[in-house]
Amino acid sequence: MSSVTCELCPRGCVIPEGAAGDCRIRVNLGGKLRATTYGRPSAIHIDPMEKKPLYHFHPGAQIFSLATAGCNLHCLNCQNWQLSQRGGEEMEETYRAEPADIVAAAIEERCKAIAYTYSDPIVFYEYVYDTSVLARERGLTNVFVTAAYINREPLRRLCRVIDATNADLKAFDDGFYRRVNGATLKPVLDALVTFREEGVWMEVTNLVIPTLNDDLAMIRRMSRWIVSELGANTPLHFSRFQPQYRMRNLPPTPADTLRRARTEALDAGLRYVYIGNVLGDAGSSTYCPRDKTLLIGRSGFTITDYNLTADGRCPTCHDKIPGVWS
Amino acid sequence: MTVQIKTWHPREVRFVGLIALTLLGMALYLGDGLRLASRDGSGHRVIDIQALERRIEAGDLRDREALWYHETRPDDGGGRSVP
Repeated sequence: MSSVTCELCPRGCVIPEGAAGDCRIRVNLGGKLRATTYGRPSAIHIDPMEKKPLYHFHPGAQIFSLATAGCNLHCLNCQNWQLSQRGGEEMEETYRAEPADIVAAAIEERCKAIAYTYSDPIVFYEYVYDTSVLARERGLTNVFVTAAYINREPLRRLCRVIDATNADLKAFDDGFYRRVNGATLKPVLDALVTFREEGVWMEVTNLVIPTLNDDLAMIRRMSRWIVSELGANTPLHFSRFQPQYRMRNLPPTPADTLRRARTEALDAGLRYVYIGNVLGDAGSSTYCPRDKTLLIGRSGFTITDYNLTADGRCPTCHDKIPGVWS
Repeated sequence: MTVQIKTWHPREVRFVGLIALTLLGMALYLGDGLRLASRDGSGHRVIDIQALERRIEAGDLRDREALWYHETRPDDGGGRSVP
């Protein structure tokens, strides 16, 4: 019986023959590691780009979004747990969609981009990679929505074919990662730096959970780290928690908590800080950091105002606004 | 108390021995749990492999070889099972 060691994520699972990695979908069959959900997604939707959320990357575009079963994190508050916390053999339905099928479907649906999302696409790495290569050849862009719990070398290779990412930074606290997500903080920070080094457009999401990671001092430390390691132009999204899965004992995040977090992050030097999952909040719109001109107004996932110039500048001061606008 | 100790009967010695063994067992169990909890990885899951193979044969899943792995070396860790 020959076991294999997975090198994809920091868990480094040692997998005996006939067993799966911690992610449930990378399985040792016959002494070789198999990607059992390659070409077999269990979720396919067309979403607005703002749902990822990406606010500085092709705003308003439709994005073809897919996921397979499995995940290498086990967040107590997972919103897609029916998908992420199950193996492929436990899914009632899988679609047969090879990379070429996905690209063809995205083009047919007039999507500009493909998102690998919902569960963590790290675990269906090979499917992401091959689909992304084909998508690029056909003029589509690739978006990787992830918790960034991945080793550096696989990530560097993936970055060659990924155009944008929204990466979760769930808390600036290793204990939180261990207790709530079944992971650790440092590999996530390393991955975010790698995304930046490799030139992938990156926005960061922090889901604020009452009493667990809403401490303003921690949010300040996290924001300062983003400024120093990723850059002040990195958009940061503070997202509202909703009780679900194994964390139904806590209330939804009050809007005021998110507003205080946003103020703290702006004070720390970040220029683009957003509030998510609060319908109609002014903090979900984009403003010019210099003169506060409303650049992109949003309500939910809908764009209500668009005042950027064609080349992505503020119409008042003509400062270049960082992002991928065309 | 001293008098009581001097007059211990074999059944009382067995009882104290049983308590001591129980405490030792608990300590070993908790110690092993703490050791495993302190490690970042090396986990695996026991899955319904027959169900998986049936789904692969039916074409619902794939057996495509993955990237980023190697045959386990002695220094790779224990390969504990996760629930």
